[in-house]
Amino acid sequence: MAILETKKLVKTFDGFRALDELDLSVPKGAVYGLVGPNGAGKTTLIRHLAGILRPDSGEVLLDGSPVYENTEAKRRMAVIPDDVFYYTQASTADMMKFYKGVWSNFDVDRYEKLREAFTLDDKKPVRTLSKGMQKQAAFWLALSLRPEVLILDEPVDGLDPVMRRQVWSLVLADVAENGTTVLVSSHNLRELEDVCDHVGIMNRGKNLLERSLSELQDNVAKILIALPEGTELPKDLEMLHESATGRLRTLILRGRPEQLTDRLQILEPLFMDAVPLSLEEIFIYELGGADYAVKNILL
Amino acid sequence: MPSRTFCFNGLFRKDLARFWPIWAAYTILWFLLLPLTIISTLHVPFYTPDRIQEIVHTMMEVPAVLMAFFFAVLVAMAVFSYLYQGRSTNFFHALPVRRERQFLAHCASGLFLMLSANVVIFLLSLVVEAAGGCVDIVSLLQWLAVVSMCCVSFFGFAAFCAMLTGHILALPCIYVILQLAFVVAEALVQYILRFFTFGMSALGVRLLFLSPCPMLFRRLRWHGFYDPDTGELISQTFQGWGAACIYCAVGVVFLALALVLYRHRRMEASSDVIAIRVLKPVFRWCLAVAGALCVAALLCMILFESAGQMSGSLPGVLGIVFLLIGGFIGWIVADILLKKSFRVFRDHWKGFGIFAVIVIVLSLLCQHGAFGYEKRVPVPDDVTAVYLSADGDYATGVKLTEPENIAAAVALHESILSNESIHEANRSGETRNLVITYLDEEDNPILSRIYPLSASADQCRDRSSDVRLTERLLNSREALRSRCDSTIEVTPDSILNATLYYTYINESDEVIYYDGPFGETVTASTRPSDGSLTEQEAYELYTECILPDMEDGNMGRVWVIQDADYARSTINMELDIELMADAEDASNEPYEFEYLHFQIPASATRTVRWLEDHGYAPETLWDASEGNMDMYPLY
Repeated sequence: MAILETKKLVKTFDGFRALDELDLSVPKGAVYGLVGPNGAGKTTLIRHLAGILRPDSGEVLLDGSPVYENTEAKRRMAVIPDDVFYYTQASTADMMKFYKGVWSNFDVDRYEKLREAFTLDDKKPVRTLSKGMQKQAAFWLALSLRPEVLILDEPVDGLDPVMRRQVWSLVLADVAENGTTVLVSSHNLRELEDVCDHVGIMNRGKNLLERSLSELQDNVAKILIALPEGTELPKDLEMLHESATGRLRTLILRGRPEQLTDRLQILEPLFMDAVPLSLEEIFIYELGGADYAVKNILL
Repeated sequence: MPSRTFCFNGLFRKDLARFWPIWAAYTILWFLLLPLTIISTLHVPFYTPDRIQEIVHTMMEVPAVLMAFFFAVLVAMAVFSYLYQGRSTNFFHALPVRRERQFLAHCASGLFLMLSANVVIFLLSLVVEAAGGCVDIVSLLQWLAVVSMCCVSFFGFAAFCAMLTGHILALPCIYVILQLAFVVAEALVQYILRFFTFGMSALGVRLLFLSPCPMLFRRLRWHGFYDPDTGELISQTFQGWGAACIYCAVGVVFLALALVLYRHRRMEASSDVIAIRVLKPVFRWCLAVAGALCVAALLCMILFESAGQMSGSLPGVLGIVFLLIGGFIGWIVADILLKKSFRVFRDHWKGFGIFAVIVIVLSLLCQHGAFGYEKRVPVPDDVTAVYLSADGDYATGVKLTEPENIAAAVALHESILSNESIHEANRSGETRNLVITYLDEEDNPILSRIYPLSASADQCRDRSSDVRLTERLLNSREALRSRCDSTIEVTPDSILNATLYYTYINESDEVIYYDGPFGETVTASTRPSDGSLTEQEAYELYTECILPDMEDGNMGRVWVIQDADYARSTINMELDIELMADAEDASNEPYEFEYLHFQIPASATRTVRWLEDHGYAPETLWDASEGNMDMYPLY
């Protein structure tokens, strides 16, 4: 069941259609990775989900209720944007007091417990901290809200590897213990692969595909094959990509790996192996079909 | 469910914590203006409590308006600063707080910053007065009321302006421009039309009510009336409560409008000069109009006023060109601001084309009198009075009410219009400006015009020319009487002061040279100097000489053409009498004043004889100038 949805969401900025009847469905308790090239509309989508922007048409729903100007819906959410705002000269403790004044469900005990996880001096003005530490402060405050939905835009950008692991473990612990739903937008597909169980791929304001990670990986196969001379591949194969090194060909095909290998077995290949694709490869080859060609640059 | 006031308080308190320096600056400035001034006055020897009252009430005038005007926009910039950066806009609108509540919280904090400071100053002043033993709580409460109303008025408008823009620096610009736009535009339009519309008069600023700041400057007035002998404050009055209340209410309306705009505001508009999409073309057109008026007024002033008037159709064509140049500049500047780029020359030409066509059509219509402005003359029956005034002489202005004089004024008006070509052709030559204003029963102007009447040699010779007709009408029996009569009864007690002075002294009489106090060379005439008359002397001169001379038609005359006739008919002395009496309606002012001015003709024999008998040496201007025909030509 979806906790966060958009239905035919449209947003235009000065004639440019940033979101083009976008449909999104984030299941409750999922860790949803939102991926897409630059300018796909991810940040614009996140701002709609956070209730900042008013859509031109379409709906943004949290548990079936519109989010825009809905204080109850917003109270259940926490948003960490890529560029976090703090009051000038405010420390993390000052921001905590402000959050406490706005969110009545702010958990001060949790804030104190998280002090051990985040190695920050919460009395120091946040603006004097490094970018990574500012991000840590943002996580510290957001997690203290105990939100039902956590929306993250490029969340681990600026964090060192140790802190990244720390942050993700805290987030996933909330997911596991409290059923928190997480939507995370990132370019770091390797990292998303480790944490996400659902993925949505955006391009040009549309959601191209939206699946669970396992379904996605089941739908595209990478097959290494060496065929006897004169043997042609079946023409009805949905080929996303093909490359060759000598007689060894690398095929990226749409379909279930087992079915594809069964079909190709008929050709009596000299060698054949199906290997799993990474999220990065799925992203590249899916978008390749959407006119976002990956250019081979020769230097 | 969490309390709604919970969130309100969080935002409200945060604003106060962040922007307390503005509160401090405002409070300190008011402290210097009011309590500190009271303290220093209390230490002045022989001060009176009246002086303290005067200080408090003076602070209700310009200082109240100026302080509210400047600090209102400063406070609005502070409390709404989060709207002008993407980061802060996103943060605040992701909070679980509805827009109305956000707006109300920030407005409340802004108003609190100013109004609480006013209360603090009120209390401090009260303490200071109590310490000095001269408590006047009524005056202080009046000050608090006026200042607070000004704060509400200007803050409401500033909040409204804050919603129009997405750029923090644009906010004060829009605020100041909108405060003055109507008044300035009206003045510029009237100024430009003067060059192209025959008879265009400065009608005064009719749209001043749309500019709260200058309007309040004019309306908030304290009058104190002091006994001339003891210097004691007899009575006082403060005017402007109505204006203050009205503008305060208007400020509240603007706050409501600002809330409506905020609820519909697109948050992606932060950093845009104009945040509301539908207002972008309006902004473009307004800037084009402003550019057209400013550039055209400047170029008209340089070309037509400094270089002299041009005749023919050339001024009209140039005027249109100036308007188009200015309009183009304004259009481009608007596009640059809206697009935040200098690459705007390729866009919106269609829009500017429409603007140019409108400018050309309107200008041509004005120049050719299509709106009927130039040819309009009122029907005499609709006119209760006519006010006439001409250049060339001091105090020619007169109000005529007799039907035959009104009819003569209308006939003169029609004659001027039929002789328009003569007057226009002589614009760069010798002219006399005639102001003619028709009034209705309530003394409201029906129609007002200024005509540059040709005063060329031919026109001056022709006794039936418009300039000579004007002079005759200004010297009608009714006009002479009105110049000599006084609404205040002239008695020795009502005469405040009277001065006789020479208007022309021959240069050859200035033979005394001496060093002045600063080392300069000073000259003095050997002739008898100007003199102040005693009340009795002035009364005697007025009742026994001036009034009988006036009955004979020999006093109160004015001259539009200063020719040889004028010089031979007028002596080189003038008389000023200032009168004062108790006001009939003492609720506003206890006294009323009137000034009488007399230019003395040579034919006022009684008056001339009195002057000679009292040691003055009057002579005609012609004799004094030794027949200087360059100064007084013979027609």
